[in-house]
Amino acid sequence: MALKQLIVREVKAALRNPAFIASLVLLFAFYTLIGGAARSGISQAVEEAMSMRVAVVVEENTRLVNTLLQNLNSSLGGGVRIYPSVESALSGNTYVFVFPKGFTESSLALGKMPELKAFIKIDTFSQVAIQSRVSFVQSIASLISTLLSRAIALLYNMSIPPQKTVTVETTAIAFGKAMSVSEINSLLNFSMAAMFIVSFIMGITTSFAAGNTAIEKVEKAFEMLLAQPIPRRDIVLAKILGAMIIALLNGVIYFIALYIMLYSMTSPISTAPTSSGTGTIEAIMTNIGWEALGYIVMPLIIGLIYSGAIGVVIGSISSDERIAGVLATPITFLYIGLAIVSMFINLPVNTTSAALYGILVAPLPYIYIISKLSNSLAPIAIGTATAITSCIAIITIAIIVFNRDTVILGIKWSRKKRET
Amino acid sequence: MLSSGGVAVEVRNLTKVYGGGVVGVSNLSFSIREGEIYGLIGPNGSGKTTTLRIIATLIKPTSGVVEVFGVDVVKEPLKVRQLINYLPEEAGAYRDLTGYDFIRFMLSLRFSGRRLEEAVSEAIEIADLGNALKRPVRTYSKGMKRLLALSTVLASRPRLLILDEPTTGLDVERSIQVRQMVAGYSKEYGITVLLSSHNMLEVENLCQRVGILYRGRLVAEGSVEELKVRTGSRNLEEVFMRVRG
Repeated sequence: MALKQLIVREVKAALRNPAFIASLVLLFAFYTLIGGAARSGISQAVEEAMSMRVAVVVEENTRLVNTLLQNLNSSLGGGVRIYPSVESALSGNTYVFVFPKGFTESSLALGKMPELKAFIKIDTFSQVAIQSRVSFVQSIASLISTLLSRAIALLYNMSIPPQKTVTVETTAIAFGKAMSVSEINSLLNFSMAAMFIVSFIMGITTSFAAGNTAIEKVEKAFEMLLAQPIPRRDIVLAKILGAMIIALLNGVIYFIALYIMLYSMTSPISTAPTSSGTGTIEAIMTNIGWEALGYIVMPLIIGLIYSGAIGVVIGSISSDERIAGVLATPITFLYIGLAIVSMFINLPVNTTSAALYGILVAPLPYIYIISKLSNSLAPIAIGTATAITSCIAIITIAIIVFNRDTVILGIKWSRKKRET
Repeated sequence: MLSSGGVAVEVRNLTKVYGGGVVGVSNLSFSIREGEIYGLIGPNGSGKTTTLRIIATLIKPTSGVVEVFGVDVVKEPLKVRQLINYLPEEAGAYRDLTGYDFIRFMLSLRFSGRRLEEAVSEAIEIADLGNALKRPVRTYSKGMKRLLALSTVLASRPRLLILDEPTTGLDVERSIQVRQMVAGYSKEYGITVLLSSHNMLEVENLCQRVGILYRGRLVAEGSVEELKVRTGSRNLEEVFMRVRG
């Protein structure tokens, strides 16, 4: 019976905490919203892939190729367009297939495999859109394989072995730069990992800053501190910088421990580096270089200041560390959620999207990579400027809160009480 | 040096209304002379802490004017903070610091160099906690924490010392010790003291003048003797019961 009473008491304490309820509502609303946004992004990417025209460049004009193209055009509902060169085809299309010289011969000769070249234009932030475009190319290659056997049977009254399929060598034109699909995947994985690291450490910073500020109130030293002849601005900055240092220390130890754990878990037999790991590093070094390190460090520094300031604001409006913790936890999930959702929303690369990602800070590594690939300073400049502006805005809010009654009284969550 | 014509604190028509329309204090006016020990008394919810927090620049008034040595607490809060020090109700200290580190930290926010060392030595003497100063504050009793906090505010020798319920939770011996220290510092260094208390005996013994707050309003003010004579009371408790109506 006593245990039951104790459990009921614990649960009631949480349920009667308005900050806890507010955090639940916030989390639910936010994840429903990002779920909807991600779903919309996925649908949009799939629809886009399915509805897009297929541009074709023909390097050899044979009966087989012409028949194949006619059949392909019929199968795609008239979505095939012929262009004289890859450049002209890419200017108005997302997918370009090239029927190279020797395609007919490879198709008809025994022991040879017909090969197509494909080009995919990557001009979006969305990983879903990128993956759906790659998948679409594979599905078109598969369709051409099917149509090829029919065309050969029709034209030459012969059948080709079923294992003779059309292979496709795909090149991604990512923001104007040519690279393999595995390279673009490596860069996407790198940006995902960078965003996760940044958002994770931002979450730690917010929790530390909020907790430390609220604990100071519980320790009853806060009012004494605020009555000292020091500008509130200095107190706010000290709290943000303190939280940054602690979070960095925590983050570094966490990731070293994680690395050691993963390293220890690796089979002693597989001592050689995996090809995928080497490929990722190679892709990063080839396409970005050592600047890649800066693509994590810069957002990390901005993110630490940003999240530290948010933590200080949360701590300053909370009456104790319990409420601060309840409010800071969903914020941590928001950082990670926003970083992940940015990979799903099919935003075009422009000033608005670069600014939006700058406001969120965590997706900054993505913008930096796009800037690098497209040889355009605009996204990196807009994203960084917006992120720094956001930091300054939040620090200003923190200083304003520290200069208001709220910092002493906290936000009233419960019923009104007479103050003394 | 600021010139305030011998007036340390001037409160004129002070009103504080919190969110939701809850009134903290209403149309409050009083003044405190330089070097004086002034006591604010009243029951819970009468507006004592609200008044002290406004004077200490921690919260802002809804209307009215509050000046400390002629400096407006709203317009120039940082300047006011250079003139005051504040001991909040149930003031504690950072749990992770030792008593010594806490003293040093709080005083380093005001002083540096030789003056800091002098102030730290003075605070150590006031706190009189011996070897306990080397222990973390989390191991301290409530009374020890109170003394530690008080030592830092006294050693800073502000021109105005604001004490909110300075002896609440302390035993008789410690309470007497605190009162003696406050009175001694006020006399020796000419420090003006504004304190709030529930303890009528404390106020009667310590304060030269008293303001009685009830439901956010100042219902009586004067020296203890004046109030007793005016109301025909034997002590301050009786004065309070009569003036509140």
